[in-house]
Amino acid sequence: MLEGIFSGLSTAVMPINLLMVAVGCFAGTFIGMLPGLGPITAIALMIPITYGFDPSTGLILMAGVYYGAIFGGSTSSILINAPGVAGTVATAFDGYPMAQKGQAGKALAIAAYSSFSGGTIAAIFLLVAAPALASVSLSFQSGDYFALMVLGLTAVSAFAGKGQVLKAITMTLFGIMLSTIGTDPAAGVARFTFGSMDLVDGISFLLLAMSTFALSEALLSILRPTKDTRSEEEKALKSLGSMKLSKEEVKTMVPVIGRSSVLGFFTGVLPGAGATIASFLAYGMERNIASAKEKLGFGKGSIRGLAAPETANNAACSGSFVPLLTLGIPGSGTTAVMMGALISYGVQPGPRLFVEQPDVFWSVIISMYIGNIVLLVLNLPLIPYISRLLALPQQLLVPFVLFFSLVGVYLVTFNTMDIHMMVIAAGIAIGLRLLNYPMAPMLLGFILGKMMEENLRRALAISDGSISFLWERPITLVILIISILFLAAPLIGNLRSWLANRKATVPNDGEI
Amino acid sequence: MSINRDKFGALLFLCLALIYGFYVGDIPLLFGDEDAPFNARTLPNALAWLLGVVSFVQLILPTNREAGSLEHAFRGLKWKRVVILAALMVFYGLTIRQLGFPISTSLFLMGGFYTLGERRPLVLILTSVGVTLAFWGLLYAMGIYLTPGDFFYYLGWMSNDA
Repeated sequence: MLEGIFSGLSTAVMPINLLMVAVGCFAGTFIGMLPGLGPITAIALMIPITYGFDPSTGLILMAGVYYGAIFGGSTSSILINAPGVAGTVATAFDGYPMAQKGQAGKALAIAAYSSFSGGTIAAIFLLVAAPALASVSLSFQSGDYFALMVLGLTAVSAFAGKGQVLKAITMTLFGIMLSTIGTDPAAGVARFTFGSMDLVDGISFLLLAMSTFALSEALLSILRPTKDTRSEEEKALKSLGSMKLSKEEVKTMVPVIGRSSVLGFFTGVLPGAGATIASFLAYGMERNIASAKEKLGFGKGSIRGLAAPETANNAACSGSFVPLLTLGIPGSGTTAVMMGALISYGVQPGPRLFVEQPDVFWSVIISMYIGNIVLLVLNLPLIPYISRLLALPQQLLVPFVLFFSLVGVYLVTFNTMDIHMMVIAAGIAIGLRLLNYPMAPMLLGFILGKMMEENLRRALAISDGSISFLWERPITLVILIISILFLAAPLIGNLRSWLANRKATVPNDGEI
Repeated sequence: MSINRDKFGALLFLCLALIYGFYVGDIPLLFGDEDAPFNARTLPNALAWLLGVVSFVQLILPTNREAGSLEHAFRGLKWKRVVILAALMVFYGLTIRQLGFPISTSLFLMGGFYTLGERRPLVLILTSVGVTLAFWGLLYAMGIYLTPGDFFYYLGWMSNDA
């Protein structure tokens, strides 16, 4: 393990990789600040750039973008109450009231220190947990992998918001359906290509990610114009106030950071849960354990209320790398995009990655520390200047996002048909977004669909066509039971609330 | 009468499941694969059924009033500019080979800026051409060469001779 850490360290501190961490953090911070554009878009836009690099460098850049996007989202949450990323919605609860009190600088500093601490503590957990889990998962068989993928897909649906479970399941199935387009890898027969040569190789992952996130998010910002917040932001930046924290404030933050790091990391490890759920859980936990007097301060600029979600969302980002690096299963839309990029570099994430390409495995983990340092040391003092970039008017910004998305896909295949397919896919994505269908489960279904089919086919072949592999090994059975519980819990919850509502609305006989 | 947004979505996916399921029969099977426990049609078949059941359940479940009507979801949207941008993207796809990267990209960006309200000629031209040439140069430096366009070869202004 020590050998691996040193190998990762030597890769991570290479000048090009250090530069990529810094570039990733800056680019991520900028994109994360833009309302509507999240980390998935930020990472997707970076993928074409990373094709020229080796896998470690590419993944390091994307990891930097991920943290940067979360940090950037916090900045716009605090300054203008417009979270750029869902994971930073809870940050605005207490961050924005602090900014309104003229303590924007302090709020940004608390967010930065909390993010740094959460990210660093979680990276230490990752350092210990990832190799251990990778060693265990080396004994996994096809049936176990199939069960794990079912777990990943059901968990994503289970963690979808209230009333969104069936929609998330629908989108997951839709994603798997899209993955069946093209040549069946085992039989070599064409499926759903309708005679088109452009579909023989299936739909490109990059095309799907770019059109359903970057393109559709940019077009949606035109379709549903939001309030122009630039003047508000400029005003907030002018009255930042001091960024210094008092001893008392640091004392208040320390235990919050400890608790929220642990909670955030483990929430991030769970497939389907992520920065958003982690930040809300941490905020809720802090409010619940606060004294009656402290509780009154929540929502009015409480330090605890700001530090908790900020720590947890960064810790969850590091935690979400655990299933990706050790099992080869992305737990969120963001890590699904990273996994797609890794596969296109020719790197297969999973337990073998730890054995076969330890430099990639360890350099990503080490780069997380470096990324957190970059965010704290470079990004925090530069926030007022990075925010100036937001002054770029929307009429210039949106065409740039469209251009980078289109050309990013075109540069990989040099096929103009891809550009037309992107327009169609973005149109469909906009329609589905307007119907309130979540996009991340679709991307996850698309990535996991092919692998799931392959593992199911192999497991059935090994067990002579019998489905007994589902319960023969205890590990497979346990994973499948957890999947069923994940799926059943929200459905039962919905059914109960529906029954309760029905009972409440049915008038009793006496009233008639 | 207006349909609920969630119900409309479920109806769309139910139709998709039916169409997808219909085309599963068109997937060719290798000799002897018909009786195999897993063939090229197995997963698509299962997916068609699952999506059909999930969307049907969504259709028959009580209406979620919070979702609002379909009309409400699509009201007040600025479609015109999005349609023009989509047309510009199609135009970009059609011309990137013929006119070449520098010209088609400049035109695309210029069109995009104009559609979204930029009217200053200097900003329109300088930003679009400047960014295009800078990006073209960056790609060239990275070893990716994008030809100036077939159009110039037809005119004889460029030649393929080494």
